Amino acid sequence: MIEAVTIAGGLLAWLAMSVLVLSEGRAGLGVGLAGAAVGIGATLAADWPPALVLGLAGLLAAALRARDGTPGWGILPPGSTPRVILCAVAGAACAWIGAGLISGAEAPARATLLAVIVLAAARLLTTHKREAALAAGSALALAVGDLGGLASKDLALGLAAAAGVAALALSLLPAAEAQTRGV
Amino acid sequence: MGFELAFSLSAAGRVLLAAGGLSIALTVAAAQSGAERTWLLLAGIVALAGLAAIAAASLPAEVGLLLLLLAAGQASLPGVRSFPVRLRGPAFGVALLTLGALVTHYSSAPAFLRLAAVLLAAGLVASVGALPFLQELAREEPVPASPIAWIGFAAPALAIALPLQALTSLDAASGPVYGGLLVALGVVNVVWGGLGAWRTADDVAAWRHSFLADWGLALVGLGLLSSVGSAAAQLVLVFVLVVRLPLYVLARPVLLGKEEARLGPAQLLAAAALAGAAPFAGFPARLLLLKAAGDIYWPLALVLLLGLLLWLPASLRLARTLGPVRGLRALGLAGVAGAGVAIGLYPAPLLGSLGGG
Repeated sequence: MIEAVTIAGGLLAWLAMSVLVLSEGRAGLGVGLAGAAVGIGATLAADWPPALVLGLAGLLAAALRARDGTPGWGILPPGSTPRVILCAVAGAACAWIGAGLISGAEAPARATLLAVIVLAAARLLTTHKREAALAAGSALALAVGDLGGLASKDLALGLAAAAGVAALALSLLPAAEAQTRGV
Repeated sequence: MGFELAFSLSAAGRVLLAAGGLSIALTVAAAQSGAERTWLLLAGIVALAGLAAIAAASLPAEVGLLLLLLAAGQASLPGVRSFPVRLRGPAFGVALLTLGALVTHYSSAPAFLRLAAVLLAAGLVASVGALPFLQELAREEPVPASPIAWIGFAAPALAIALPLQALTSLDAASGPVYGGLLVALGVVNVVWGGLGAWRTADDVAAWRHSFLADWGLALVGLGLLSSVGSAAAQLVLVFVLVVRLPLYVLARPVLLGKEEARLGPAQLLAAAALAGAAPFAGFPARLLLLKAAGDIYWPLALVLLLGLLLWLPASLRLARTLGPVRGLRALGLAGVAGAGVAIGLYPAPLLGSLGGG
Protein backbone atom coordinates (compact mmCIF):
# COMPACT_ATOMS: atom_id res chain seq x y z
CA MET A 1 0.00 0.00 0.00
CA ILE A 2 2.74 2.46 1.03
CA GLU A 3 4.70 1.50 -2.10
CA ALA A 4 1.70 2.32 -4.30
CA VAL A 5 1.21 5.68 -2.57
CA THR A 6 4.86 6.64 -3.03
CA ILE A 7 4.80 5.69 -6.72
CA ALA A 8 1.58 7.66 -7.24
CA GLY A 9 3.17 10.57 -5.35
CA GLY A 10 6.17 10.47 -7.64
CA LEU A 11 4.01 10.56 -10.75
CA LEU A 12 1.93 13.40 -9.33
CA ALA A 13 5.04 15.40 -8.41
CA TRP A 14 6.49 15.00 -11.92
CA LEU A 15 3.20 15.94 -13.57
CA ALA A 16 2.77 18.96 -11.27
CA MET A 17 6.35 20.14 -11.82
CA SER A 18 5.69 19.85 -15.57
CA VAL A 19 2.69 22.16 -15.13
CA LEU A 20 4.90 24.57 -13.15
CA VAL A 21 7.51 24.51 -15.93
CA LEU A 22 4.93 24.94 -18.70
CA SER A 23 2.80 27.68 -17.08
CA GLU A 24 3.10 31.45 -17.16
CA GLY A 25 -0.09 32.26 -15.23
CA ARG A 26 -0.56 32.31 -11.47
CA ALA A 27 -3.19 29.54 -11.48
CA GLY A 28 -0.87 27.20 -13.35
CA LEU A 29 2.07 28.00 -11.09
CA GLY A 30 -0.07 27.57 -7.97
CA VAL A 31 -1.50 24.23 -9.08
CA GLY A 32 1.97 23.04 -10.11
CA LEU A 33 3.42 23.91 -6.72
CA ALA A 34 0.46 22.35 -4.87
CA GLY A 35 0.74 19.11 -6.81
CA ALA A 36 4.49 18.97 -6.28
CA ALA A 37 4.00 19.45 -2.53
CA VAL A 38 1.37 16.71 -2.29
CA GLY A 39 3.50 14.40 -4.44
CA ILE A 40 6.63 15.00 -2.37
CA GLY A 41 4.63 14.44 0.81
CA ALA A 42 3.24 11.19 -0.58
CA THR A 43 6.72 9.83 -1.29
CA LEU A 44 7.42 10.22 2.45
CA ALA A 45 4.20 8.39 3.36
CA ALA A 46 6.04 5.80 5.46
CA ASP A 47 6.99 8.60 7.87
CA TRP A 48 3.74 10.56 8.04
CA PRO A 49 4.48 13.59 10.32
CA PRO A 50 7.14 15.18 8.06
CA ALA A 51 5.11 14.15 5.01
CA LEU A 52 2.11 15.98 6.40
CA VAL A 53 4.15 19.07 7.30
CA LEU A 54 5.73 19.26 3.83
CA GLY A 55 2.43 18.67 2.07
CA LEU A 56 0.46 21.22 4.10
CA ALA A 57 3.18 23.86 3.94
CA GLY A 58 3.44 23.34 0.20
CA LEU A 59 -0.33 23.67 -0.25
CA LEU A 60 -0.33 26.90 1.75
CA ALA A 61 2.64 28.18 -0.26
CA ALA A 62 0.79 27.32 -3.47
CA ALA A 63 -2.31 29.20 -2.31
CA LEU A 64 -0.17 32.24 -1.51
CA ARG A 65 1.58 31.98 -4.88
CA ALA A 66 -1.73 31.95 -6.71
CA ARG A 67 -2.81 35.24 -5.09
CA ASP A 68 -0.88 37.57 -7.43
CA GLY A 69 0.97 37.63 -10.72
CA THR A 70 -0.21 37.15 -14.28
CA PRO A 71 -3.90 36.10 -14.18
CA GLY A 72 -5.03 32.77 -15.64
CA TRP A 73 -3.34 29.46 -16.30
CA GLY A 74 -0.98 30.39 -19.11
CA ILE A 75 -0.22 26.74 -19.81
CA LEU A 76 1.71 25.91 -23.00
CA PRO A 77 2.32 29.44 -24.26
CA PRO A 78 3.71 29.80 -27.81
CA GLY A 79 7.30 28.55 -28.06
CA SER A 80 6.98 26.04 -25.24
CA THR A 81 7.92 22.96 -27.28
CA PRO A 82 11.46 22.79 -25.79
CA ARG A 83 9.92 22.87 -22.31
CA VAL A 84 7.55 20.02 -23.17
CA ILE A 85 10.52 17.97 -24.37
CA LEU A 86 12.45 18.89 -21.21
CA CYS A 87 9.62 17.68 -18.97
CA ALA A 88 9.27 14.38 -20.82
CA VAL A 89 13.00 13.67 -21.00
CA ALA A 90 13.66 14.79 -17.42
CA GLY A 91 10.83 12.59 -16.12
CA ALA A 92 12.08 9.52 -17.93
CA ALA A 93 15.75 10.15 -17.12
CA CYS A 94 15.09 10.84 -13.43
CA ALA A 95 12.95 7.71 -13.12
CA TRP A 96 15.69 5.66 -14.76
CA ILE A 97 18.54 7.15 -12.72
CA GLY A 98 16.67 7.36 -9.41
CA ALA A 99 15.02 3.98 -9.50
CA GLY A 100 17.36 2.02 -11.75
CA LEU A 101 20.94 3.24 -11.69
CA ILE A 102 21.10 4.21 -8.01
CA SER A 103 20.24 1.12 -5.99
CA GLY A 104 18.73 0.73 -2.52
CA ALA A 105 15.47 1.39 -0.75
CA GLU A 106 13.08 4.34 -1.33
CA ALA A 107 13.44 4.27 -5.13
CA PRO A 108 10.22 6.25 -5.82
CA ALA A 109 11.24 8.97 -3.36
CA ARG A 110 14.68 9.21 -4.99
CA ALA A 111 13.30 9.47 -8.49
CA THR A 112 10.75 12.06 -7.36
CA LEU A 113 13.40 14.16 -5.68
CA LEU A 114 15.57 14.06 -8.78
CA ALA A 115 12.68 15.10 -11.01
CA VAL A 116 11.58 17.96 -8.74
CA ILE A 117 15.13 19.31 -8.34
CA VAL A 118 15.94 19.08 -12.06
CA LEU A 119 12.67 20.68 -13.21
CA ALA A 120 12.77 23.41 -10.53
CA ALA A 121 16.38 24.25 -11.44
CA ALA A 122 15.51 24.27 -15.14
CA ARG A 123 12.62 26.67 -14.50
CA LEU A 124 14.80 28.94 -12.35
CA LEU A 125 17.52 29.06 -14.98
CA THR A 126 15.25 29.89 -17.88
CA THR A 127 12.47 32.14 -16.58
CA HIS A 128 12.41 35.93 -16.52
CA LYS A 129 9.13 36.06 -14.60
CA ARG A 130 9.38 36.70 -10.89
CA GLU A 131 6.35 34.61 -9.89
CA ALA A 132 7.66 31.60 -11.83
CA ALA A 133 11.08 31.90 -10.13
CA LEU A 134 9.38 32.16 -6.72
CA ALA A 135 7.23 29.08 -7.38
CA ALA A 136 10.24 27.10 -8.61
CA GLY A 137 12.23 28.28 -5.57
CA SER A 138 9.44 27.07 -3.25
CA ALA A 139 9.42 23.68 -4.98
CA LEU A 140 13.20 23.48 -4.62
CA ALA A 141 12.92 24.28 -0.89
CA LEU A 142 10.38 21.49 -0.44
CA ALA A 143 12.69 19.08 -2.28
CA VAL A 144 15.63 20.06 -0.05
CA GLY A 145 13.48 19.39 3.02
CA ASP A 146 12.41 16.06 1.54
CA LEU A 147 16.04 15.04 1.04
CA GLY A 148 16.85 16.06 4.62
CA GLY A 149 13.98 13.87 5.83
CA LEU A 150 15.13 10.91 3.76
CA ALA A 151 18.75 11.32 4.82
CA SER A 152 18.15 11.80 8.54
CA LYS A 153 15.06 10.20 10.04
CA ASP A 154 15.83 11.76 13.44
CA LEU A 155 15.73 15.29 12.03
CA ALA A 156 13.06 14.66 9.41
CA LEU A 157 10.32 16.66 11.13
CA GLY A 158 12.56 19.65 11.88
CA LEU A 159 13.86 19.76 8.32
CA ALA A 160 10.38 19.38 6.87
CA ALA A 161 9.22 22.29 9.02
CA ALA A 162 12.23 24.38 7.98
CA ALA A 163 11.60 23.57 4.32
CA GLY A 164 7.94 24.47 4.75
CA VAL A 165 8.88 27.80 6.30
CA ALA A 166 11.31 28.49 3.44
CA ALA A 167 8.66 27.64 0.82
CA LEU A 168 6.14 29.87 2.58
CA ALA A 169 8.64 32.71 2.88
CA LEU A 170 9.30 32.56 -0.86
CA SER A 171 5.57 32.50 -1.59
CA LEU A 172 4.98 35.49 0.69
CA LEU A 173 7.15 37.63 -1.59
CA PRO A 174 4.98 39.58 -4.03
CA ALA A 175 5.00 38.80 -7.74
CA ALA A 176 5.70 42.42 -8.64
CA GLU A 177 9.36 43.44 -8.82
CA ALA A 178 10.54 45.95 -6.21
CA GLN A 179 11.03 49.41 -7.65
CA THR A 180 14.20 49.36 -9.72
CA ARG A 181 16.76 51.89 -8.66
CA GLY A 182 20.46 52.51 -8.90
CA VAL A 183 22.77 54.38 -6.53
CA MET B 1 11.90 11.54 15.76
CA GLY B 2 13.25 14.89 16.90
CA PHE B 3 12.11 18.33 15.91
CA GLU B 4 15.41 20.04 16.67
CA LEU B 5 17.99 20.90 14.01
CA ALA B 6 21.73 20.65 14.47
CA PHE B 7 23.69 23.94 14.57
CA SER B 8 27.18 24.38 15.99
CA LEU B 9 29.48 27.32 15.29
CA SER B 10 33.13 26.25 14.87
CA ALA B 11 36.14 28.40 15.77
CA ALA B 12 36.58 29.20 12.07
CA GLY B 13 32.92 30.19 11.92
CA ARG B 14 33.37 32.53 14.87
CA VAL B 15 36.39 34.15 13.18
CA LEU B 16 34.39 34.64 9.99
CA LEU B 17 31.48 36.08 11.95
CA ALA B 18 33.77 38.56 13.74
CA ALA B 19 35.30 39.51 10.38
CA GLY B 20 31.79 39.97 9.01
CA GLY B 21 30.90 42.31 11.87
CA LEU B 22 34.07 44.32 11.32
CA SER B 23 33.35 44.37 7.60
CA ILE B 24 29.91 45.90 8.21
CA ALA B 25 31.41 48.61 10.44
CA LEU B 26 34.12 49.47 7.88
CA THR B 27 31.72 49.30 4.94
CA VAL B 28 29.23 51.59 6.65
CA ALA B 29 32.02 54.06 7.45
CA ALA B 30 33.21 53.88 3.82
CA ALA B 31 29.77 54.61 2.34
CA GLN B 32 29.21 57.97 0.70
CA SER B 33 25.89 59.14 2.14
CA GLY B 34 23.77 58.70 5.25
CA ALA B 35 21.00 56.89 3.34
CA GLU B 36 23.50 54.47 1.83
CA ARG B 37 24.99 53.86 5.29
CA THR B 38 21.60 52.98 6.78
CA TRP B 39 20.84 50.70 3.87
CA LEU B 40 24.21 48.94 4.14
CA LEU B 41 23.89 48.57 7.92
CA LEU B 42 20.41 46.99 7.80
CA ALA B 43 21.23 44.66 4.91
CA GLY B 44 24.57 43.80 6.54
CA ILE B 45 23.03 42.84 9.87
CA VAL B 46 20.44 40.58 8.22
CA ALA B 47 23.13 39.03 6.02
CA LEU B 48 25.38 38.53 9.06
CA ALA B 49 22.63 36.55 10.78
CA GLY B 50 22.29 34.40 7.66
CA LEU B 51 26.05 34.01 7.46
CA ALA B 52 26.17 32.83 11.09
CA ALA B 53 23.37 30.33 10.52
CA ILE B 54 25.05 28.91 7.39
CA ALA B 55 28.44 28.68 9.08
CA ALA B 56 26.82 26.86 12.01
CA ALA B 57 24.69 24.46 9.96
CA SER B 58 25.78 20.85 10.09
CA LEU B 59 23.53 19.27 7.44
CA PRO B 60 23.50 19.89 3.67
CA ALA B 61 19.73 20.41 3.78
CA GLU B 62 20.09 23.14 6.41
CA VAL B 63 22.71 24.94 4.32
CA GLY B 64 20.58 24.56 1.19
CA LEU B 65 17.49 26.07 2.80
CA LEU B 66 19.40 28.93 4.43
CA LEU B 67 21.22 29.65 1.19
CA LEU B 68 17.96 29.75 -0.74
CA LEU B 69 16.38 32.13 1.78
CA LEU B 70 19.43 34.40 1.91
CA ALA B 71 19.60 34.54 -1.90
CA ALA B 72 15.87 35.25 -2.16
CA GLY B 73 16.25 37.99 0.45
CA GLN B 74 19.06 39.63 -1.48
CA ALA B 75 17.20 39.23 -4.77
CA SER B 76 14.21 41.02 -3.23
CA LEU B 77 16.19 44.17 -2.47
CA PRO B 78 15.56 47.07 -4.85
CA GLY B 79 18.09 46.80 -7.63
CA VAL B 80 18.69 46.93 -11.35
CA ARG B 81 18.68 43.23 -12.24
CA SER B 82 15.41 41.28 -12.10
CA PHE B 83 14.59 38.86 -9.27
CA PRO B 84 14.98 35.66 -11.34
CA VAL B 85 18.36 36.78 -12.66
CA ARG B 86 19.61 37.41 -9.14
CA LEU B 87 18.20 34.20 -7.64
CA ARG B 88 19.22 31.75 -10.33
CA GLY B 89 22.94 31.41 -9.50
CA PRO B 90 22.62 30.54 -5.80
CA ALA B 91 19.48 28.47 -6.46
CA PHE B 92 21.31 26.47 -9.13
CA GLY B 93 24.07 25.93 -6.56
CA VAL B 94 21.48 24.64 -4.07
CA ALA B 95 20.13 22.27 -6.73
CA LEU B 96 23.62 20.90 -7.46
CA LEU B 97 24.43 20.53 -3.75
CA THR B 98 21.14 18.72 -3.13
CA LEU B 99 21.75 16.37 -6.04
CA GLY B 100 25.25 15.68 -4.72
CA ALA B 101 23.90 14.98 -1.23
CA LEU B 102 21.23 12.72 -2.72
CA VAL B 103 23.81 10.65 -4.57
CA THR B 104 26.14 10.34 -1.56
CA HIS B 105 23.25 9.30 0.66
CA TYR B 106 21.98 6.54 -1.59
CA SER B 107 25.05 5.16 -3.31
CA SER B 108 28.48 4.02 -2.23
CA ALA B 109 29.55 2.89 -5.72
CA PRO B 110 32.86 4.59 -6.66
CA ALA B 111 31.53 6.02 -9.92
CA PHE B 112 28.54 7.63 -8.19
CA LEU B 113 30.68 9.02 -5.38
CA ARG B 114 32.95 10.64 -7.96
CA LEU B 115 29.87 12.09 -9.65
CA ALA B 116 28.71 13.36 -6.25
CA ALA B 117 32.13 14.96 -5.70
CA VAL B 118 31.77 16.84 -8.99
CA LEU B 119 28.22 17.94 -8.10
CA LEU B 120 29.24 19.12 -4.62
CA ALA B 121 32.27 21.06 -5.91
CA ALA B 122 30.26 22.62 -8.74
CA GLY B 123 27.49 23.41 -6.26
CA LEU B 124 29.90 25.28 -3.99
CA VAL B 125 31.31 27.31 -6.88
CA ALA B 126 27.84 28.02 -8.32
CA SER B 127 26.56 29.12 -4.92
CA VAL B 128 29.51 31.47 -4.53
CA GLY B 129 29.08 32.87 -8.04
CA ALA B 130 32.67 32.34 -9.14
CA LEU B 131 33.71 31.25 -12.64
CA PRO B 132 32.14 29.46 -14.52
CA PHE B 133 28.93 30.47 -12.72
CA LEU B 134 29.22 34.26 -12.83
CA GLN B 135 26.17 36.32 -12.02
CA GLU B 136 25.25 39.26 -14.26
CA LEU B 137 26.73 42.58 -13.18
CA ALA B 138 24.94 45.95 -13.33
CA ARG B 139 27.27 48.87 -12.55
CA GLU B 140 24.47 51.12 -11.23
CA GLU B 141 23.10 48.53 -8.82
CA PRO B 142 23.26 49.44 -5.10
CA VAL B 143 25.96 47.51 -3.21
CA PRO B 144 23.64 45.40 -0.98
CA ALA B 145 21.75 44.07 -4.03
CA SER B 146 24.81 43.51 -6.22
CA PRO B 147 26.62 40.23 -6.98
CA ILE B 148 29.72 41.81 -5.43
CA ALA B 149 27.99 41.93 -2.03
CA TRP B 150 27.07 38.27 -2.48
CA ILE B 151 30.55 37.07 -3.40
CA GLY B 152 32.24 39.46 -0.94
CA PHE B 153 30.01 39.11 2.11
CA ALA B 154 27.48 36.27 2.02
CA ALA B 155 29.43 33.59 0.18
CA PRO B 156 32.43 33.26 2.57
CA ALA B 157 30.18 31.39 5.05
CA LEU B 158 29.83 28.65 2.44
CA ALA B 159 33.57 28.01 2.60
CA ILE B 160 33.15 27.10 6.27
CA ALA B 161 30.10 24.87 5.98
CA LEU B 162 30.18 23.11 2.63
CA PRO B 163 33.68 21.56 2.28
CA LEU B 164 33.42 20.01 5.74
CA GLN B 165 30.05 18.46 4.94
CA ALA B 166 31.20 17.30 1.51
CA LEU B 167 34.31 15.58 2.82
CA THR B 168 32.42 13.72 5.52
CA SER B 169 30.08 12.26 2.91
CA LEU B 170 32.77 11.35 0.33
CA ASP B 171 35.25 8.48 0.59
CA ALA B 172 39.04 8.39 0.19
CA ALA B 173 38.78 7.90 -3.58
CA SER B 174 36.23 10.61 -4.33
CA GLY B 175 37.59 13.23 -1.91
CA PRO B 176 40.52 14.03 -4.24
CA VAL B 177 38.06 14.48 -7.13
CA TYR B 178 36.30 17.13 -5.05
CA GLY B 179 39.58 18.77 -4.09
CA GLY B 180 41.03 18.55 -7.60
CA LEU B 181 38.00 20.23 -9.14
CA LEU B 182 38.11 23.03 -6.56
CA VAL B 183 41.83 23.57 -7.23
CA ALA B 184 41.28 23.60 -11.01
CA LEU B 185 38.40 26.07 -10.80
CA GLY B 186 40.37 28.08 -8.26
CA VAL B 187 43.35 28.45 -10.61
CA VAL B 188 41.00 29.48 -13.43
CA ASN B 189 39.51 32.16 -11.17
CA VAL B 190 42.94 33.37 -9.99
CA VAL B 191 44.23 33.79 -13.55
CA TRP B 192 41.02 35.07 -15.14
CA GLY B 193 40.23 37.32 -12.20
CA GLY B 194 43.76 38.76 -12.14
CA LEU B 195 43.76 39.41 -15.88
CA GLY B 196 40.23 40.82 -15.83
CA ALA B 197 40.94 43.16 -12.91
CA TRP B 198 43.91 44.52 -14.87
CA ARG B 199 42.65 44.61 -18.45
CA THR B 200 38.86 44.89 -18.50
CA ALA B 201 37.50 48.25 -19.68
CA ASP B 202 34.85 48.80 -16.99
CA ASP B 203 36.09 49.66 -13.49
CA VAL B 204 33.15 47.96 -11.71
CA ALA B 205 33.83 44.78 -13.69
CA ALA B 206 37.52 45.12 -12.73
CA TRP B 207 36.55 45.19 -9.06
CA ARG B 208 34.36 42.14 -9.53
CA HIS B 209 37.25 40.32 -11.19
CA SER B 210 39.44 41.13 -8.19
CA PHE B 211 36.88 39.41 -5.92
CA LEU B 212 36.94 36.43 -8.27
CA ALA B 213 40.72 36.25 -8.05
CA ASP B 214 40.55 36.21 -4.25
CA TRP B 215 37.89 33.52 -4.35
CA GLY B 216 40.17 31.59 -6.71
CA LEU B 217 42.83 31.55 -4.01
CA ALA B 218 40.25 30.45 -1.46
CA LEU B 219 39.03 27.63 -3.71
CA VAL B 220 42.60 26.42 -4.23
CA GLY B 221 43.15 26.44 -0.46
CA LEU B 222 39.95 24.52 0.18
CA GLY B 223 40.75 22.06 -2.60
CA LEU B 224 44.15 21.19 -1.16
CA LEU B 225 42.30 19.26 1.56
CA SER B 226 44.88 20.11 4.21
CA SER B 227 44.48 22.05 7.44
CA VAL B 228 47.05 24.65 6.29
CA GLY B 229 45.31 25.07 2.92
CA SER B 230 41.95 25.43 4.60
CA ALA B 231 43.29 28.01 7.07
CA ALA B 232 44.87 29.95 4.17
CA ALA B 233 41.56 29.90 2.30
CA GLN B 234 39.68 31.22 5.28
CA LEU B 235 42.31 33.91 5.88
CA VAL B 236 41.86 34.99 2.25
CA LEU B 237 38.12 35.27 2.91
CA VAL B 238 38.76 37.32 6.05
CA PHE B 239 40.85 39.61 3.81
CA VAL B 240 37.94 39.86 1.36
CA LEU B 241 35.56 40.81 4.17
CA VAL B 242 37.80 43.25 6.03
CA VAL B 243 39.83 44.84 3.23
CA ARG B 244 38.48 44.32 -0.29
CA LEU B 245 34.75 44.84 0.31
CA PRO B 246 35.10 48.11 2.31
CA LEU B 247 37.56 49.45 -0.27
CA TYR B 248 35.09 48.64 -3.04
CA VAL B 249 32.39 50.62 -1.21
CA LEU B 250 34.92 53.44 -0.79
CA ALA B 251 35.49 53.40 -4.57
CA ARG B 252 31.77 53.62 -5.50
CA PRO B 253 31.62 57.43 -6.01
CA VAL B 254 34.41 57.26 -8.62
CA LEU B 255 32.94 54.13 -10.20
CA LEU B 256 29.60 55.93 -10.62
CA GLY B 257 31.28 59.02 -12.07
CA LYS B 258 30.50 61.27 -9.07
CA GLU B 259 34.17 61.88 -8.23
CA GLU B 260 37.44 62.01 -10.16
CA ALA B 261 39.91 59.11 -10.05
CA ARG B 262 43.34 59.98 -8.64
CA LEU B 263 46.53 58.37 -7.39
CA GLY B 264 47.82 59.83 -4.10
CA PRO B 265 49.43 58.41 -0.95
CA ALA B 266 46.13 56.99 0.35
CA GLN B 267 45.56 55.24 -2.98
CA LEU B 268 49.09 53.79 -2.96
CA LEU B 269 48.46 52.47 0.53
CA ALA B 270 45.22 50.90 -0.68
CA ALA B 271 47.01 49.42 -3.71
CA ALA B 272 49.49 47.69 -1.42
CA ALA B 273 46.65 46.33 0.72
CA LEU B 274 44.70 45.12 -2.34
CA ALA B 275 47.77 43.43 -3.80
CA GLY B 276 48.27 41.44 -0.62
CA ALA B 277 51.67 43.00 -0.02
CA ALA B 278 53.39 42.87 3.37
CA PRO B 279 52.48 43.96 6.01
CA PHE B 280 48.79 43.73 5.07
CA ALA B 281 46.34 40.91 5.74
CA GLY B 282 46.59 39.37 2.28
CA PHE B 283 50.29 38.64 2.68
CA PRO B 284 50.23 35.85 5.31
CA ALA B 285 47.22 34.33 3.54
CA ARG B 286 49.11 34.14 0.25
CA LEU B 287 52.29 32.93 1.91
CA LEU B 288 50.41 30.19 3.72
CA LEU B 289 48.62 29.17 0.54
CA LEU B 290 51.89 28.95 -1.39
CA LYS B 291 53.35 26.81 1.40
CA ALA B 292 50.30 24.51 1.43
CA ALA B 293 50.39 24.20 -2.38
CA GLY B 294 54.16 23.65 -2.41
CA ASP B 295 53.86 20.90 0.19
CA ILE B 296 51.49 18.97 -2.04
CA TYR B 297 52.61 19.77 -5.61
CA TRP B 298 55.23 22.45 -6.23
CA PRO B 299 54.22 23.31 -9.83
CA LEU B 300 50.87 24.43 -8.42
CA ALA B 301 52.68 26.85 -6.10
CA LEU B 302 54.59 28.17 -9.15
CA VAL B 303 51.36 28.71 -11.11
CA LEU B 304 49.84 30.50 -8.10
CA LEU B 305 52.94 32.67 -7.73
CA LEU B 306 52.71 33.71 -11.39
CA GLY B 307 49.00 34.35 -10.92
CA LEU B 308 49.73 36.54 -7.89
CA LEU B 309 51.99 38.74 -10.02
CA LEU B 310 48.87 39.74 -11.97
CA TRP B 311 47.64 41.39 -8.76
CA LEU B 312 50.22 44.18 -8.96
CA PRO B 313 49.00 46.17 -12.00
CA ALA B 314 45.40 45.30 -11.19
CA SER B 315 45.71 46.65 -7.63
CA LEU B 316 47.15 49.97 -8.83
CA ARG B 317 44.30 50.28 -11.30
CA LEU B 318 41.68 49.52 -8.64
CA ALA B 319 43.26 51.82 -6.05
CA ARG B 320 43.03 54.76 -8.50
CA THR B 321 39.24 54.47 -8.30
CA LEU B 322 39.23 55.33 -4.59
CA GLY B 323 39.20 59.09 -5.13
CA PRO B 324 39.68 61.67 -2.38
CA VAL B 325 38.50 60.58 1.08
CA ARG B 326 37.49 62.90 3.92
CA GLY B 327 35.62 62.72 7.22
CA LEU B 328 34.03 59.40 8.12
CA ARG B 329 35.20 57.85 4.86
CA ALA B 330 38.82 58.69 5.75
CA LEU B 331 38.18 56.99 9.08
CA GLY B 332 36.88 53.97 7.15
CA LEU B 333 40.05 53.86 5.06
CA ALA B 334 42.17 54.16 8.19
CA GLY B 335 40.16 51.35 9.78
CA VAL B 336 40.71 49.12 6.75
CA ALA B 337 44.44 49.86 6.79
CA GLY B 338 44.65 49.32 10.57
CA ALA B 339 42.74 46.02 10.49
CA GLY B 340 44.78 44.88 7.47
CA VAL B 341 48.08 45.68 9.16
CA ALA B 342 46.98 44.10 12.46
CA ILE B 343 46.03 40.84 10.77
CA GLY B 344 49.08 40.97 8.51
CA LEU B 345 51.58 41.52 11.33
CA TYR B 346 49.98 39.27 13.90
CA PRO B 347 47.98 36.53 12.15
CA ALA B 348 48.78 33.85 14.76
CA PRO B 349 45.55 34.15 16.81
CA LEU B 350 43.45 33.99 13.66
CA LEU B 351 45.43 31.09 12.24
CA GLY B 352 45.13 29.25 15.53
CA SER B 353 41.34 29.51 15.32
CA LEU B 354 41.34 28.59 11.63
CA GLY B 355 43.42 25.47 12.22
CA GLY B 356 46.58 26.51 10.44
CA GLY B 357 48.62 27.80 13.33
